[in-house]
Amino acid sequence: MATDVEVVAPPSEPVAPPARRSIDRIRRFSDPLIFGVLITIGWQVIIQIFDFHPVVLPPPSRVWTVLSTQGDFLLESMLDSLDTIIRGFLYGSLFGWAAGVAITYSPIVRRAIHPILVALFVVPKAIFLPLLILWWGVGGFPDHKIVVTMLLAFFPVTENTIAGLSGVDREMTELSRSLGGSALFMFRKIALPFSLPFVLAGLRIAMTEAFIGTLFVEILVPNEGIGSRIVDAQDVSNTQFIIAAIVVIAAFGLAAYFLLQWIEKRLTKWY
Amino acid sequence: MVLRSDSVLKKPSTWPAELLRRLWNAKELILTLLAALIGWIIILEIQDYHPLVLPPPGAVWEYLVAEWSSLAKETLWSFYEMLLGFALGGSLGFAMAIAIFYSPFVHRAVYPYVFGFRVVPKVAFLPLFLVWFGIGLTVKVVMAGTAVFFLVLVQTHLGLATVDPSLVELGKSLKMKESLLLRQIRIPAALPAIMVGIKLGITYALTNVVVAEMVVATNGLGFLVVRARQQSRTDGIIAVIIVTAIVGILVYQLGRAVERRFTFWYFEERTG
Repeated sequence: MATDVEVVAPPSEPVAPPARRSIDRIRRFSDPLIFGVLITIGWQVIIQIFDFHPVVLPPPSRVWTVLSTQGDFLLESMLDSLDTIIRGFLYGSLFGWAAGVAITYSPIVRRAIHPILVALFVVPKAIFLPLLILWWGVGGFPDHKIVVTMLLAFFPVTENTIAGLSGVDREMTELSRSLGGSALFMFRKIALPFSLPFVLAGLRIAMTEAFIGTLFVEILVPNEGIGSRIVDAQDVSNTQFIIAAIVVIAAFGLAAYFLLQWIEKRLTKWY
Repeated sequence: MVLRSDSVLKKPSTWPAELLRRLWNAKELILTLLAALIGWIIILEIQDYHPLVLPPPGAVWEYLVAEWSSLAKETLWSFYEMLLGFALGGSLGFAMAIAIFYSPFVHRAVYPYVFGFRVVPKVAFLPLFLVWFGIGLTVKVVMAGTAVFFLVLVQTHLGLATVDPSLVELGKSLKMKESLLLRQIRIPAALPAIMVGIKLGITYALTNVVVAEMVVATNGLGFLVVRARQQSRTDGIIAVIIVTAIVGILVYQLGRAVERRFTFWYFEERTG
């Protein structure tokens, strides 16, 4: 059942095709820019032609105004969310890694718990939120926001840790054992480095999942963070604020993704 | 067609024996679930929790029995919305992947944005979709479709881009037109990757349908769990969670069955 869930990420995935000539290298940056400008112009033209009300579709200039005048407020709310995201991500991936190690090395734990985790992966985890709020409540410890974020960040790390540890070269382990290496020594010097690329790829997915978890709770149960500010904006029909907030979330999401990808590349050069 | 020895030599097993064998293989899992159930009962014996905090298992069972018709009805609603969203997002994602595959400009221009949108939680778009589509069926279908769109797009493109070049050469040497080449060689060869997108896409669709239902709260499983919470029926919340879990697992199995049906040759090759 373990290999049925294909959430195991390849150690790195290409974003763009490799650039061969220098003209390709330029077009890799110019084409997205041209497309972005075309979309913005098209957006403006559609508003002019169909005469949309700004509540339905505000012009790009209004979104820009929100970004430039309320940038501090957006950033502050985003940092509030980021606090939850990072803590949930750290706790979730730590538990996820520990679960992955336990499942790989203990057959009993594997047979007893792994099917439950696999099942949990395919269940919409949003449905647990009312129960988690009831038990951990708003402002309780640990906060329900962190619990949901942990729950989402947990699984990719577990699956990738299992995949990484199960793929460890047998011959190397045998050799080390025959030379008198202890179990702990083999784990530290062989299993850990070998599973690292997989664990790091899992962390990359876990970060995206952590964003989903925190944003979901903030939108469903608004109190603080950028998700709650989106709901506030929706209540007063401030559509340009919603779009500006999405832009900010996308920027931070991409930054987190590329940061983790950079760490991944640095740590797994040899792979 | 290679005749595989195990399919000939394996003794035909009767279904009760097969069922017993499967149960025996899952004995640790069954014990864990039983232990959780007994733990639940023991906790209630030791500490007298209010049913609002932790209802006894019996209450959850009674809720399931009493409310089964509304549970079944709302499950079908969620399933219907999921399928519509899946069809919408899947077909658009597939078409977009083909455009990206054939046009280097579209690839370079669009892919960075696709990538950017993939990282944004789809739930952040929900308030915007509510403004655009109201609180009807459309908003849930669009939410589900958005999640499926990106997944199917990325997987289809991945599949098309990694097709064995010798297969394409073979088609070209037979003077196949590109449209025929796409239908007869590229897409069939890309199916394993596409099917992963479809299998995961259908579970993502369900997740996003439930999220939208919890916010919109007019029908579906998400509505039921929100209603149970508003009525302070914790037994109801747990009952809906159980039903949703079963639905989630069944939907995933459905996706897997579709995957096996269309790419059985790939799995036979892999497992030998």
